[in-house]
Amino acid sequence: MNEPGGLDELGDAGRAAWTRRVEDGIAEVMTDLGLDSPHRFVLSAPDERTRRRTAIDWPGLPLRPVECLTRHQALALLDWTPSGSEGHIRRLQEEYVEWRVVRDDVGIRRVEFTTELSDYWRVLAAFDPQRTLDLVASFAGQPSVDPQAVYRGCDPFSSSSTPEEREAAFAGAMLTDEDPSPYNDGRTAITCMAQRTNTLRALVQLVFVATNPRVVQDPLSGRIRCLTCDEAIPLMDGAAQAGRASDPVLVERLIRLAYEGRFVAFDDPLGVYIQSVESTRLRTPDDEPVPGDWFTFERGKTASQTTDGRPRWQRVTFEPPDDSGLHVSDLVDVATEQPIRHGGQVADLVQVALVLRVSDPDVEPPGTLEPTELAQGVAENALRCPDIRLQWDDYLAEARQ
Amino acid sequence: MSKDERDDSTVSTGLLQRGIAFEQGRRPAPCYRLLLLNAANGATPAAVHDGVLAIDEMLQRLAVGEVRELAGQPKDKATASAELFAGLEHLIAFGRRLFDVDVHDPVLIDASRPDYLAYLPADGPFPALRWEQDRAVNTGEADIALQFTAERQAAVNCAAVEVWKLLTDEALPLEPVASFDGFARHDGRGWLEFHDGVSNMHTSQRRAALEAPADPEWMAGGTYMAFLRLTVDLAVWRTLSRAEQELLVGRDKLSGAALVGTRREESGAAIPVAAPRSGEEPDDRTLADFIDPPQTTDPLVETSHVHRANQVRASPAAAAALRMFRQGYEFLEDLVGRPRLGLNFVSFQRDLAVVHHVLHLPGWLGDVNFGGPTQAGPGDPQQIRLVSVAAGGFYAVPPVGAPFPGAEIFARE
Repeated sequence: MNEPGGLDELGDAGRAAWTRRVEDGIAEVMTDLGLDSPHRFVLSAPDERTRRRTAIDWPGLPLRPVECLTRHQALALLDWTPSGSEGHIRRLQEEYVEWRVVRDDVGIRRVEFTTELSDYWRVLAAFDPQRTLDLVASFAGQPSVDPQAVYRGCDPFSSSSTPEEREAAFAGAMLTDEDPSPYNDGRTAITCMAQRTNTLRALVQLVFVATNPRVVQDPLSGRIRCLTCDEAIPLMDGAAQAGRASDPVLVERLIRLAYEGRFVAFDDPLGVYIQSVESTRLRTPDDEPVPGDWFTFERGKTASQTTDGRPRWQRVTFEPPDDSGLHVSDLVDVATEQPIRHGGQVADLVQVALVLRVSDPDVEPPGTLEPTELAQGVAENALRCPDIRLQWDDYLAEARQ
Repeated sequence: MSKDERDDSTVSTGLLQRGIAFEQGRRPAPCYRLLLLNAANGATPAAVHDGVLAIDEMLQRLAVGEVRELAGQPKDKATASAELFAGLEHLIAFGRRLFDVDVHDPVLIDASRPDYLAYLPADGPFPALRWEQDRAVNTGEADIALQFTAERQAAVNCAAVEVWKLLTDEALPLEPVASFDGFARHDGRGWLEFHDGVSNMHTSQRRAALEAPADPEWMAGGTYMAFLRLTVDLAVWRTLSRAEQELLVGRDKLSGAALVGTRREESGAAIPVAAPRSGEEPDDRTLADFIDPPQTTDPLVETSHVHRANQVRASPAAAAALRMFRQGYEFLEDLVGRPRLGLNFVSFQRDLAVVHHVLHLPGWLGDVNFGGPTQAGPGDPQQIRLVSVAAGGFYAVPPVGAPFPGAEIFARE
């Protein structure tokens, strides 16, 4: 298994550990699902049967808060980190892309996005502490980083420290909700994804549960068709969340791939990738288009460097250059005619994708399918809005102080 | 229509106004006209409100054959009028301009503007879909849009003229600023002679694609309309081979079947491979694939128009699928010299963000004018500039309500 984004920074031991991490993650999910034999449609790794690639993409703005609140409320809430480090890191940035907003006295200086999996960073931190610290420092724009800020309670360079200890120390500082390190909670830097559901395990679980050729008889046309996400997600036992941008399209696409009789596997390198940015929506105060190179893509490959012509970036920073004299907050989105006031407005321009390897159709014909028995009625609150509204109340309470 | 009557009619259509043919078994009426109105300078909100109310009431009477200046006509003549206007539907929509405080003094609206209800940028509405050359001003933006659909061309045209008569006779503070006509082809094809509008969503999923959320509150249950009058360069299109055309569209030209892949000639030229023709009684999957072809895994077919316009091919319940309900109408303006013709692209969706995403995103329609690869390889069809925007605008289509849709948002003096 190659490193996400086609990176080459782990070394032999680290790369072997990353491969094991992915394999173990898949095995754990299969165990949890009670699968004692291989999944009928999902392969543990791509092989000669899955020669084709297909990408599923979605915008980076989390839609559940937008649906549960208003768009303006959601944008404010999505940028908010509760004071005192209570709550969870980027709790609502749940679309497999997370960001931080860097502000100064004038306004928004830049917005930084990452799709890097914490699972990968755990391995990197375990096997190459110097590289880990160098990268974190570069994300923070600092010459160096205090190792204790990244490896809490552990000297990563001690000859007695083991990879397991370094990984645990890294996770204890950078991936925790309790007193998280400023190098990943957004105060000083954002290093990798830390939101609870933006993980390799969540992704694997979703793919293994959703890839099932479920059909239903359409209530109006009477035709047999694949389940929609609203019909399928209640049957998935929590493996996907309704109302997101990401999970519903992933679910419907995976059902359809199984229905077409295709094998499915994660592409190698496995990762969640920033595929494109709608930079053309942004204008300067003089109504000039924003140059595309104000977005800096990192931690991946250009379209010309990949075999399928798809870019695979894991990090993008949007920042007007110093000589422009502009801040992000000076820019306007022509689609709304509104100035950029929140990171979520830029996240809305970021398109994220998961690339899968698939076989030709009918390689694994699903056979005769019986219509699925649907959950009775759509769950009253499939979007789990009350939780989001509580967070909005907390935000308002803090804003009033 | 009274409020009670409106309430009775909402069982299957929710609060959506008439004129959107999304119900089971319903085809869009074949005749179309869009009439755009601006409020007169200095008009008060109350006067504009009353003007729209008068138009709405007049058009409801017209739909049952009551022509203002023909009141009292003999019964047989009244029957003829009723027949002419049978099936006439009108829809009232509010443009960005209505909310523009720089244009209207006094301010007309006392309600939030929906976030994505924005003017189309003057320097080009979308990155790969540009304004027509020599276009001086965008005539597609206005305060109010009235969409007319009917079975007869005369009905939609007469309805527009009846509005003009009413405005003139009653000295209402609204003035027509543009009007656009259109027609639908019964064969399901467009000017490119390909099947158009074939790919659309299951009837049971359409309301989810249409109904706006309550943000702002006054739009709850309404919808949003995108109107783009697109000119098509038919002369350029006809220089392409059938294979090139099919690769750009993503369908077989004759059967309408979706392309499933490509093969290469010895010369390296890409040859489209369509799904096999369905038999007399296609199975469910074959039929579904024809209506809404599955996402292909062929890189060249993935760049075709039908796949770029609907990349993820999921239901509207998956918001990131960016589904919109299209109800377009062709138009023909002139045949002298180069044909001047095209498509009134009309789509309805729960959120105009959908249209912006589709027309800005690279890989969707943000980096090509119509279809095909951005950088054609050897043997691939080349990019052409096929489509330009002659006029366009975004409109909020409020939910049905009394005394007319959206009446409550006009400012009170």
